[in-house]
Amino acid sequence: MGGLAFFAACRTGGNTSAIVAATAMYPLITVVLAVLVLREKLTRLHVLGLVFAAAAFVLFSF
Amino acid sequence: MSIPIWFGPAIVVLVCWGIAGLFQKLSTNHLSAETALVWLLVGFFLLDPWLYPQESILIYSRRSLVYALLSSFLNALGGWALLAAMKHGGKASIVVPFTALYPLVTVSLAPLLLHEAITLSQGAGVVCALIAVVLLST
Repeated sequence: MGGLAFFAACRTGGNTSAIVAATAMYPLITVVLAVLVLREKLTRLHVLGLVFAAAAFVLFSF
Repeated sequence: MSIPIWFGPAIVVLVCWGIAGLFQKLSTNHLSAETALVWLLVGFFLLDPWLYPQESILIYSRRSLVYALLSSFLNALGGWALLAAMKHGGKASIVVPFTALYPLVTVSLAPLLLHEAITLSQGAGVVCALIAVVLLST
């Protein structure tokens, strides 16, 4: 499913570097799930990572 | 600020592959990397009845088919290596973010091979994304 969505993103004509970098942030979901499901605690570096991920999403929007 | 069209599918990729990382680790608890890879490929085919292309899958230029096959071969090889890393004791929370650094390769190759220009904000976004992956893997 993720692979198909990746091809769909590429077919829109978007910049390859931006699409690959954006989709490679999927560990973001793993970290959020680890907190919610496995009750793992976020470190300060993880929080900083989430901030950079959010910044990347905003920058890709321009 | 306008949301690019590719953003929607990209979010689906994030969610699917983010969750897949957990299942990949769980699958290698009892399966070898090679066996897990076979069942991973079976999962691809399970999706096909719903997402089978409406046009013929064979009427394309030979070059496009070669690119598609190379893409799938490298995907499978990378998938096997990821599963092997987990099978040999790699933690999902470490291995998954580390392997997510693959955009370093793509970002290096895309301007050279695809001659794609990247805007300043997209370049900054790529840098932020890579920093995020590194921090999330700590």
